[in-house]
Amino acid sequence: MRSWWDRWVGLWAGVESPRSLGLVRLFLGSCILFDFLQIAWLDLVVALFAPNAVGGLSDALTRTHVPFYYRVAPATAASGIALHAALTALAACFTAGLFTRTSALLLVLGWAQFAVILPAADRGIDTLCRDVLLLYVFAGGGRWLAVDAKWSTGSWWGDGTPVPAWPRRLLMLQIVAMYFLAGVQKVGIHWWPFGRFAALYLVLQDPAIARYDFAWVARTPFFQLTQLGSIVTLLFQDTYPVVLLLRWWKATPERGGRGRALVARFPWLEYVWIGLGLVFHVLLALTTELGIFPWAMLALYPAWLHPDDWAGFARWVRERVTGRPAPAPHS
Amino acid sequence: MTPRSRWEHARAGVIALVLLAHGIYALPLPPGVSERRVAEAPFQRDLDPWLHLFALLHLPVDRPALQTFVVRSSSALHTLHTTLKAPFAPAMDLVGANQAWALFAATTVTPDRLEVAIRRGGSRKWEVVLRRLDPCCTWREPMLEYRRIRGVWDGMREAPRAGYKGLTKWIAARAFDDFPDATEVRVRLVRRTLSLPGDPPIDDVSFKHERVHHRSAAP
Repeated sequence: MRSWWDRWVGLWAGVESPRSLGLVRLFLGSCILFDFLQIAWLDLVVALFAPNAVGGLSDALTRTHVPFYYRVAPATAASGIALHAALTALAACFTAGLFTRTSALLLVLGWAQFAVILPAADRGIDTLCRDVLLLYVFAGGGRWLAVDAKWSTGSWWGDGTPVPAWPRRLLMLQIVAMYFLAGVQKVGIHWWPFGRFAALYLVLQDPAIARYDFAWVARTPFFQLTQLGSIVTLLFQDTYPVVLLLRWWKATPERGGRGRALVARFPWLEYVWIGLGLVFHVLLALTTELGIFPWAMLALYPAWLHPDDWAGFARWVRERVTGRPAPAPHS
Repeated sequence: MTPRSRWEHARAGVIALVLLAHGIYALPLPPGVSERRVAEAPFQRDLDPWLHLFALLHLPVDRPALQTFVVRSSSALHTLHTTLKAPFAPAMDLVGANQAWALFAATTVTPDRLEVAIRRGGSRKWEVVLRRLDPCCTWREPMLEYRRIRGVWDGMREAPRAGYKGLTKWIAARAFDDFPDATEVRVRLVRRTLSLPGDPPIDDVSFKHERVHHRSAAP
């Protein structure tokens, strides 16, 4: 028991460069900021944030439990506008890495109030963003490419002081949980053989979701391709936790075994799942109107790269783009 | 192994507690399904393949028995989930955290399309001004198809969502602003029943949750 606990403590004890956390902060913050700015651009601030008595869509004031925000703020359109303005400003601060932890905390608390004011307007991706922001309340996400880094070290890139690695590890766990749980809950018949794997076809025929008219997908071979897509989606999501297992095998080569031999031979294996996820979200972005969902999901992907691996990744990309071997970095 | 500080032990303990809470929230247990909900057409369609499967396996399960099972088991599981979540609910609600990721868990063969039409003064004819993915009618499309607005009207249930009535009034107010000669605004959902490729085509379009607002009653 003691040994298990020590391993558990050790799992969350490492430190690393804040680079990956900083990138996720920048990308995810940009998606969140864009979404709140889009609300203003579409002239939906009062509609989404204010109670129906003053021009909004929320029935918050007629509920048994009035949301906390409208217990302390007057039920006016101005209060709705103020909440939206605060969330937008906090999203901007978080993205810029300005008072990163405080911004993340206040953004989560304010956003949670927005979710209670109009629950129907709060989608899965909003919840995911809040879950991730909670990590940043405790993480060193403002230590790299951030105003906080500039103020505390004099450099936008920080001074190289490592930050705890556990937030990035929890972030990876969150991504795995999201995919896996989305997979195992795909119990609708059209994800399965007796529904002819027609789920993706039906998603593309839903005018509320599809970006374009996809009636032509009913033709051969496009329908069959959507069937293949349904199968791959289900397999990819249901097996996603294997990414963590592959990472574990990779991190503990001294323990030996067939699994570790496999990842030693194919060190890119986990990137099959990560790459499929990437393709999946790009296709979603191209074919559906799901708002920031695909982009916010992609914004989390830098968490998959250990901060020390970014130089190698950049070299790999350069080699693929130029077709020439890139010079090894100076040690 | 390096000796760990008290702080590291405490942190690991807190992470374990947080993961326990999120793990409980993540349990893929179904929401309670009421008898009314199970009687709805989309739900009945979902039961069909299961009944077909049971028949193939010669299992003596008929529709009423399956419905009763669904209602009772989902209700029991929902109660269990709510009970398990209760100790963590105040904290999770405070920050709006959750781990329910039923993304496209079920797809629909009866998708809805928001349609807005106006009637100009002196005319008896409805003029459609918004119909999603129809190039003829794109009035305020980016606004009304924005994901958060879609969340108010789009759903797979037969009953409209809580904010739907208010949304139709709100849309009507915008339409009266944009079309000064409009005397009435009609908001409804156009539901089309889809057939899968290779199946006999279904030419079935129905209209749901129709609300008509008159300028005289507009706020």
